Amino acid sequence: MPRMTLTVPRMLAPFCDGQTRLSVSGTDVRSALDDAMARHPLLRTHVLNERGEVREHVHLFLNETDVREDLSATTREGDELYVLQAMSGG
Amino acid sequence: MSVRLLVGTEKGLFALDSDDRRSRWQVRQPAHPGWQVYALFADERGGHPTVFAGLSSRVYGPHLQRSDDCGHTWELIEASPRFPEGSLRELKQVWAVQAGSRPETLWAGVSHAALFRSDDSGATWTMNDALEAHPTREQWLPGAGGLCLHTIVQDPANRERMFIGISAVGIFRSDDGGRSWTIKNQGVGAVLLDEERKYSEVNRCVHKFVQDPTEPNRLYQQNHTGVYRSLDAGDSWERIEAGLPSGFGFPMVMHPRRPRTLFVIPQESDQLRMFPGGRPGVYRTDNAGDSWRRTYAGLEDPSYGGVLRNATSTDREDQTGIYFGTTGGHVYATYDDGELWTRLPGTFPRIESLAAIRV
Repeated sequence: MPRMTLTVPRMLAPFCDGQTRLSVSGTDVRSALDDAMARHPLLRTHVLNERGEVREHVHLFLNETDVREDLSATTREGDELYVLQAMSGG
Repeated sequence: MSVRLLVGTEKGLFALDSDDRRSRWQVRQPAHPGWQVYALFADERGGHPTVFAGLSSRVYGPHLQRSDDCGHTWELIEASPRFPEGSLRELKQVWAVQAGSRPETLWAGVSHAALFRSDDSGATWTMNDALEAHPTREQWLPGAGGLCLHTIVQDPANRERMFIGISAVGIFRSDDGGRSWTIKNQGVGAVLLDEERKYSEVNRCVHKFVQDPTEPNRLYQQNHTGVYRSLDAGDSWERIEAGLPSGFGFPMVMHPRRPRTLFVIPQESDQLRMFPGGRPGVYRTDNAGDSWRRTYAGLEDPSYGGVLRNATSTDREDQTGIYFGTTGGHVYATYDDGELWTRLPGTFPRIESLAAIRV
């Protein structure tokens, strides 16, 4: 199963044992997120809403591709997955 | 004894520590930077305080944390209140945490309006089904702060009786430990005045309410439409505004030791939401709201902010300390029931909650 690095904003580090970079495994974005969220349940709470969708002001990138609306995107060994806070407002 | 005052703000949780006489205070470094702290509750029932903080983010949503050392270190509550998977509602903020009738029981109020119960001292939470299924729910409309369940009062004399307040819906009472809820808005003015809503049971925007400590059938509420009291456990309400410059405001503080003594901090109007006259005015009544008197001393500096509904606290010292925090980030204290107010050190982000703890 492909292994990759998940990077989260500093505000979410308390839910990941204080880390902002996690090693995760998964064949697609959703399963890679599930891997991290199974170990860190409050990461799920703060990234996904009650319907399992990425929260409105959260972005999700696989390498340089926006996968916010495509959690089934295929992952490869060594990929970089990023949870980012959307830039909005002034 | 000294006091630790936790200051929940828009950008983190701060602390002010007093000396034994509460004459000197020191600001401590913030915890939870970046998180809004709308709810603070110091559970001192067991003697040793356990503090609960409701943290939230406009981006990442809410969760609860607890501290067993007065806020020095914090523990995440992984099973924090949450709507069921698949729910069309999103849990936005935790607005209230309060003690229930049993030592291990706690209640939490959230937006969008729901009540959660914990029977294991906050480790896990279950949504209150009776409120979810309330027959008026489809008529509930949010206030400016959302559809928030912000106030929870457990009756100390009757373990089956409790009250909750939801903006902009009103006050509900349960006489069976939360298994059913009855709306208690009779006599309270409506917020929306169209013909359909004016005469509905709901549409009453309670901002805060308190219970008299020695006469539990006496309730007082700061509402969007005015200040009211009830002498019959919420069955009916009457206005108590003699001496107030405005009926509009958010917080209401019940004196923990003096029956029928309480404080409100009015604002100019629901449109301006500033202190009348550009100075904080804390109004005290000693006769259950028959009349109000302004307390001035120490509040002379011009200020055009306001005080949010959870941004007050009282301590447990022999001479009660009463505290409020402003939207401009200043904290004020009095140790003589408002005869003299003192501004404590520090300018904080917008203050959303306070909790005084004996340490």
